[in-house]
Parts: sequence; C-alpha cells; structure tokens
Amino acid sequence: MIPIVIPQIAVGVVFRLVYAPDYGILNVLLGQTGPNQPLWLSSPPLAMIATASVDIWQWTPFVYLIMFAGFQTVPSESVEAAQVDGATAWTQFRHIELPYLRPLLLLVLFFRIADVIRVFDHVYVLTGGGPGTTTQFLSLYIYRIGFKFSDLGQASALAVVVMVAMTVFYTIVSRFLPADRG
Amino acid sequence: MTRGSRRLTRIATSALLAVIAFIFAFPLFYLIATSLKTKADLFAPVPSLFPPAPTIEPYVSVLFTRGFDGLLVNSIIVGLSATILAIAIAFAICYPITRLPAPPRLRTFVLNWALSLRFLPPVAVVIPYFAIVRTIGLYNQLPALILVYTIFNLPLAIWMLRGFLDEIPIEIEEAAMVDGASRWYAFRAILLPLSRTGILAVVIIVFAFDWAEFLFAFILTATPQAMTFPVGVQGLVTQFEIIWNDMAAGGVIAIVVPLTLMLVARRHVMAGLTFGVIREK
Repeated sequence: MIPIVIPQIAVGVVFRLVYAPDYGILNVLLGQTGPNQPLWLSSPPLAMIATASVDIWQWTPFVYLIMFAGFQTVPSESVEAAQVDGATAWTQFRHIELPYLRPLLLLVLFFRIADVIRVFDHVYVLTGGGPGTTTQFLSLYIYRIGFKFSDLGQASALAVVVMVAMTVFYTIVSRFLPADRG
Repeated sequence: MTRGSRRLTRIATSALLAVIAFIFAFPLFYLIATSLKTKADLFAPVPSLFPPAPTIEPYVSVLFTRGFDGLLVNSIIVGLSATILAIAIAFAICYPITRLPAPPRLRTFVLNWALSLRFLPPVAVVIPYFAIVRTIGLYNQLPALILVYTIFNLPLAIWMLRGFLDEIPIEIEEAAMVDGASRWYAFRAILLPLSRTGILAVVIIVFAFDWAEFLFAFILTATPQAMTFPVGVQGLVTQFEIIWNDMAAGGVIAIVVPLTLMLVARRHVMAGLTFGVIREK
C-alpha cells in the first residue's frame, strides 16, 4: 500500500526517473538507448499512456485493498450453500460475490472518478500538459488559462462550469453512498 | 483438476504476483538508488541500477546548498497549524452531531456537505482563493496556506472524527452527568481521553495530506519564504536541466515523512482515504 501514501509530486519524480529519455530506467531496461528510443513523455500517444500508467500505479493498491476488504464481508454461508449445490468457481463469483460487491465497486468508481478529475500534480511534473496539449487535463487547462495566460475571468468561468458539473455528479452519486448512515 | 495442472497454476500465479510486485517496487528502488549517486555517476553512458559509490551528498545538496531546509520548516509549520485548527473546528462540529440531540436533517446535511467537498476538484476553487488572498495581502505568506489547508481538510477531519466519536458509547458521559458532572467536565474528563487514539489518527492523516498538497502551495506562494517542500521538489524537476540525484533526494524526503506517519497510523489510512466509508477491522 506504499504507493497510496506517496505525495503526488514525489510520484511525478519517481516516474520522471522511469520514463525520461537518456536517463530513464525503462528505456535502459528495454535496451532502447540511443537516438531511436521511445520518447515516453514527449510523443503524443506515449505521453498519454505514461501519465495514465502513473495514476494506475499509484491507485491500484487502493482499489485492491477495498476489494479485499469487500470479499471478506461476503457471508461464507452463501458461498458454502452454493458450493453444496455444485456451483463452479465462476458462477460462485458471478452470482454471489459480485452482487455483494456491487455497492463497493460503485463507491470505488466514484472516488476514482473524482480523483482523476482533480489530477494535477504528477502530470504537471511529468509532462506539464505536453507535448502540445495531449496530456492537458482539466486541472492543467484551467491552471494554464488562469495563471499562464493571466485570464482569471475565463478561468473562473471554467471553474464554475466544473463546479456545476461536479455538483450534478455528486447529487447522483450521493444516492449510492452510505452518507447518512448515522 | 489433476495434480500437475494445479501445480502449474500455482507456479503461474506466483510468477504473476512476482511481476506485479516488481512493477510496484522497482520505481521506488530506482528513486532511492539514484538519490545515492554521486554527480560523476550521473554522467555514466548507461545509468546503473546500483549506485557505484553511495553517497549522501545529494541530500546535503538539496537540504542545505539549495536551502530546502527552510521549505521543510515551512511545510512543518503550515502542516501542524492547519492540522490543529482543522481538528479543533471538526471537534466543534462533531460534538453536537454525535452528542447533542441535533435534528437528523441537520446532521445529514452537514455530513453530506462535507462529503461533497471530496468530489470538488481543488482547481475549481484555487482561483477565487488566489484573488482573495492577494486582495487581503496574504499572498506568499504562510497564514494564507494555513487557512486554505484548514478549510480543505475540514471535511476529512469531520468524517474521521465522527466515526471515532460514534464508537464511544454516550452512556459513559450520561452516567457521569447523572452523577452531577457538568457537560464540560464530561467532555474533558471522559470523551477527550477516550477519543485520544482517534484524534491521533486524524492528526496524522490530516498532516500527511497537508504535507502532500501541491496545487494551492504552488499558486499561493512565490518565494522560498513561504514555499512548501513539494513546491521546491517540483522546481527541481521542471528546471531546464534536471540534476537527477538532487531531484531523487528531494523525492525521497517528500516520501519519507508521510510514509513514516502512515505506518504509525496504518489501520486508519483506508478510513482516511475513503472518508470512513471503508474501515479496516
């Protein structure tokens, strides 16, 4: 679970060391040094894959831990009953465990969507939104409008749009969240 | 399933797990390895996996030559102040919610509102904050960051604290009050000591979040006088020529602090990340 607690900036640093040309360890391990090496951070499709892979690297353990906790809450009686009735591993998963895990899966999905929308730090460190605008995600776009082009007005307008969109999203999501358990 | 194929499956599973473990551990290993290299090692035609002559020179260079010790102090000041503030306010909000007969609608509203902030991208509010902070003359000052971090971690503090307070049976306090203790005394002598471990967990998690925060610190500060550590590390990466070992050393320092804290509060990390929706037993 170590990746979860690493500050995103540091995650950016880590993957700079992995993907950078000439010094990045990935190309060294692939035996791809020299002028024709893949430029992970500065050629369009690769840069997107690289930035996405970083997010995946950091948050897969988180999802794994949640799923692990979820599987433990599946009542063993149901599983045993199914086994007695001759269920295969697959039907057992499909018809017993999966329905139990559905609320949890939705929850993780929502949290991850919220996180991905706010992503800024590691992308800023890795590609700065480049090459061109291929990895210019929402946060980076607003940042660039507001602080690089000093157009606080347009950036605020964008921020309002984002806020409205997220409010709508949250209203839908909150129906699925156990928010008022108390 | 025959015995042979079962063994094959087991070997395949182990191999797969080993590959996954490698993918997750290797980048961190390489970070540490790089942070221990000398300047000369950086110019090797093919970067080595192990530092040929391990040295702590990059750490010294980052902390003292580049003056990052000041940023470290800033980060700690901001983190501690914002954590204490956030928890004090969260306590003031959670106490009535869990201990007084607050209307259920109000309770639901407060908790829902707090949770909704988790879904708000910080970039959407950084612009108004920037404008406000500049207008009231706090730009590039630590108090601005303390204020913003307090507000931003309040929802998390509220949710975690509420979880812990809910677990402490209210009957103990009621019994004390029946015996003539004042509400304040019941709070101070019973609730506070009982929730101590919970408070400590919230302190650690909130501090770790403050420590890692980058966007606000990046936009609301301009000079090392008020910059926090992550902003400094970012500066090492985006400059024209990257000094790899210094950058790696900065990264290691940025990681070590929250990692140590989180190991202490291991059991509560998941609760912190999911607002208490997931609790590890």
